[in-house]
Amino acid sequence: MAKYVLKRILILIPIMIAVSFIVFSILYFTPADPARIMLGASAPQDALDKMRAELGLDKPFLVQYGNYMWGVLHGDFGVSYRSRQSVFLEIFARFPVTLKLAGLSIVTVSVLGIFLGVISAVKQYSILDRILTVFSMMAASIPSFWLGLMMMLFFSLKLGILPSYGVESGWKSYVMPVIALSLPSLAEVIRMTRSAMLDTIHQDYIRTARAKGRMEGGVIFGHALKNALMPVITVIGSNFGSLLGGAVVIETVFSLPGLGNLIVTSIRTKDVPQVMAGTLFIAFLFCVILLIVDVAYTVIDPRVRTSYIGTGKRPSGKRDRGKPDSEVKAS
Amino acid sequence: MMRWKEKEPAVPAGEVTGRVPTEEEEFIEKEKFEFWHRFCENKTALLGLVVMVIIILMAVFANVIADAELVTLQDISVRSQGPGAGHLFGTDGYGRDIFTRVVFGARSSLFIAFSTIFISCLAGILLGVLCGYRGGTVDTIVMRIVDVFMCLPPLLFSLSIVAAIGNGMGNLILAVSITMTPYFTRVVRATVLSVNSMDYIEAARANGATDLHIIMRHIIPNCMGPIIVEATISLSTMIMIAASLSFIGMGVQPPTPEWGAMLSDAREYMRDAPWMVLAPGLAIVITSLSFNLLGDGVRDAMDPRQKK
Repeated sequence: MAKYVLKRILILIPIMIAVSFIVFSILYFTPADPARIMLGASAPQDALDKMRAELGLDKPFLVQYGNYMWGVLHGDFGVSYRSRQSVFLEIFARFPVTLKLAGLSIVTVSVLGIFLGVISAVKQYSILDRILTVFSMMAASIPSFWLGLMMMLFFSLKLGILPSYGVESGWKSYVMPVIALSLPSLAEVIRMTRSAMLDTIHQDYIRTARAKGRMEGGVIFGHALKNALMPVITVIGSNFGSLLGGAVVIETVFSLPGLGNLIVTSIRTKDVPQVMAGTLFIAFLFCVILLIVDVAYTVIDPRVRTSYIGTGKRPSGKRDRGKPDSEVKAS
Repeated sequence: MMRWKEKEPAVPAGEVTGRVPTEEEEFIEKEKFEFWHRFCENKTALLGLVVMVIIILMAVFANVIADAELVTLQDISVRSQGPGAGHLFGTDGYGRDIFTRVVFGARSSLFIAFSTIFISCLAGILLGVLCGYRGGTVDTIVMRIVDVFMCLPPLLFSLSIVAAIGNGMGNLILAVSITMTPYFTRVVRATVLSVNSMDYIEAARANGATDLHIIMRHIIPNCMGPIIVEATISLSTMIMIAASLSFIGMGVQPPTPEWGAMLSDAREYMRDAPWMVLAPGLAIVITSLSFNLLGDGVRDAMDPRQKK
């Protein structure tokens, strides 16, 4: 087991390097002259040239990338064009907010989504099931930022019980952002859990478990849910990506001082190192989540454990080969 | 969900063309008919289709429904007016008619959604067929790159592309297309792999058909099902990403009417003029709901597991 996790962590390194290369190449094309931003519009030409040389901007693309990555390896993510401070300081200050937002959302999505999905499947065709189906259809179609605005209108401006911006009021500040952010993903998890549960619930081994005299709760959660959990975990993992992306927008809506907000303001001010560092940070976080999901498969499903551990095969990408993604995404 | 009904016999294809159809054509015709049959049984999907058609018509005939001049006409005397007789959905902070802007906003939103679908589908088919059909090193390299691209959260990825190449509708379309291409590539490649092992491909090859012929005549037509499903389901994702980016000011720029950008404008007036955030938001919800219903219907109707 430890060997497998170690292997997965080692695979993470080339992936992260590739991700950083993509992000660096994209942002390399930003039409901003950092020297001009730092020195102001009226700076003389030779001062600009000197500044460019100092920043290493006169070197070829690959050398610049190499220098940047060398710095990243040493914990130096570059210097903000605006504040002239290490961008890492700002990221470090903002990261907890995003982590809290995304973390609370993913917990809400997983717990509530699986629970409601199971209920929906167990009580198939009941009123509750129908309500949940309609609810998840609606929830998937509401843009999270609009939902955020509407809640703000009602709870902050009309009732005045929840703050409409900032994080100064503790847990209250996170209520609306978390709801707005998690609703679309919640819909997806409910639907996935429902269909996965419906697939397993009619299997023979469920009937066997019932015939053995196991309590209904044990049958549902011990046998059915355990077997239905794999596709649900896949969906939760990929939804963490949407949550991190959505956090960028939600943080803007509620003016939360998080990473997403930082990225958006930095894009506006053309502060490339800050954008780069923020984006890389979120991308790395997502990579780690995907790793955790991969490891979670082996923890939950003994079949995966025995097929991947000990055979020395590379697990990544083999899982869904030959199976259309639509099938995974669908249902 | 399923209702068991007696299957009606398929329409003989020969009646349409006036000649005796081959067995393969008959099969395809039957499949199409069964698809429609199953699709029409699904009332919600049908509703989604109807609403979508209405929205498309609204976008196409926007200048018939509303006056194009009113889109950008700023009338200071009617600033921030509530919904009423003169202005159905009220006016915004610049005195522009919100109803007109919502109607014309459908043009931007639908144009963005459909063109991103078109571009990323095309790129996905190209790459997917290349990988699935050729296999080998090309396949490995492209799929590794696709894997890496999928490690970036979609919205963030689009955002960083827009940050680099700048705002505007064209750049937004490009950014979202690049973001979605890996997903299509995966679907197409997986389908090509399963189609490639079919007997009729082997037969065509034995007949001496060229690779291009096999790809164009056999592989791509047989891959269309999953591609169409993926495309319909992705439509609402496209609408959402485009609206989100415009909302944070990184997409369609004012004064072009776009629902996300309108919401962004309306934010500062929200306290006194809640109708400003209502109409564009509902437009997004209805559009994306209709796409979702349609996508689900198409998927269910095509799902081979339901064929009996």
